[in-house]
Amino acid sequence: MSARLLVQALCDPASVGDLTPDRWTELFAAARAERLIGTLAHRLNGLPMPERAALILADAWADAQGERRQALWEADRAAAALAGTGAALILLKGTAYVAAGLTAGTGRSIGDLDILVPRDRRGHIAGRGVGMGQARSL
Amino acid sequence: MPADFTVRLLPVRPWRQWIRPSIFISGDHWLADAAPMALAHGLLAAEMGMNLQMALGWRRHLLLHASTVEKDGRALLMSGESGSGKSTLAALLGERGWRLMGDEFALIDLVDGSVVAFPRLVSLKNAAIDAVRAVAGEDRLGPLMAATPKGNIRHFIPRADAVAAMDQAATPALLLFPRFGAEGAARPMDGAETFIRLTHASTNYVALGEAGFRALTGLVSAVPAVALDYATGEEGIDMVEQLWSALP
Repeated sequence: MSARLLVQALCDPASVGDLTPDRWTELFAAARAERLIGTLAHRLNGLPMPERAALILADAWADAQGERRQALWEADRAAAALAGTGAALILLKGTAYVAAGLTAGTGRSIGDLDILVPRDRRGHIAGRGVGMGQARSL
Repeated sequence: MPADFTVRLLPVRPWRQWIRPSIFISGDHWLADAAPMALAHGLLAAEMGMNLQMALGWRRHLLLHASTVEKDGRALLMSGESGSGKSTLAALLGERGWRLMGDEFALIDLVDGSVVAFPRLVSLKNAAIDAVRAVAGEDRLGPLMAATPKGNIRHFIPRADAVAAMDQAATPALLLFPRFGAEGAARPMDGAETFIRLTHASTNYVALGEAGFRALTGLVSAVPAVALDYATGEEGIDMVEQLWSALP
């Protein structure tokens, strides 16, 4: 497993043209370990590659679309829960990127919903079922 | 061809290569709380590692924890927990005129609902080892791994013709939920119960979203399901053959 290989493929997608089957396997292992295989699928989209590699990347892309849909749904539910509290919904990290349509969100793996709320409203907002996971004060 | 997945079997700590050698199952997908295994059970660890990649990572089919055998292009799926006898029944049927399509996962095509073969080594446990050896002989059995977390285990090689035919899919015709060790009984199951049991038997139903729902409801509405209790392997085989011959 090689981080260098992954970085190379992300920075210079055409470089995958020279990969042997074993190097493809290494690339996918590194991309999965770094949770970047959805991003890799986006970067390599349309390039010539072995059929099996294309299938693996198509699966990864479909997974990323599922995570994107899930993240936006969670953001939608959080917005509904915050309505009337006076707190705006401030999304952070992955969900923010996909909600804003930023390129950093393309193919990104999104594990959970991170939001920012005013400290003095935290108790009130938690009472509405938001932030049932980990809350952290900055 | 690139591999679909990578499995890594690594020592729990570097020195555990030599002192009480033990391994942790890892790879593209892994479970942080999985218990380490003795190196002597490494073959089982490799099998579990491969199963784990499929269970957690495969998206191209709906995966059901089930064994599958085929006859005349039609498939019999047997789903159940470890110890239900699904692997043993499939291995025995595979020696009696059926094609063994798989003993661990049934792969259901998301578009046409067919079941795709995934024939690999069959993991035989405890009394199942002797039951299969009695009909298939010693040559196709691997080494004995004694007292593993799953009991005594030997792996069994499917027939060569079953492996050669692995590219031939089949149409599901009957779903069985076997339970070994109970008095013989066959109870037809309705669609709701079958659906719920299969959602529990699937490792990727939730991840597949709507495609998984369509594949599973399609399967349940097209195929009759029976809960099958049996006391001995012979009784189980007889009951399976009877149910099969009664299909329209």
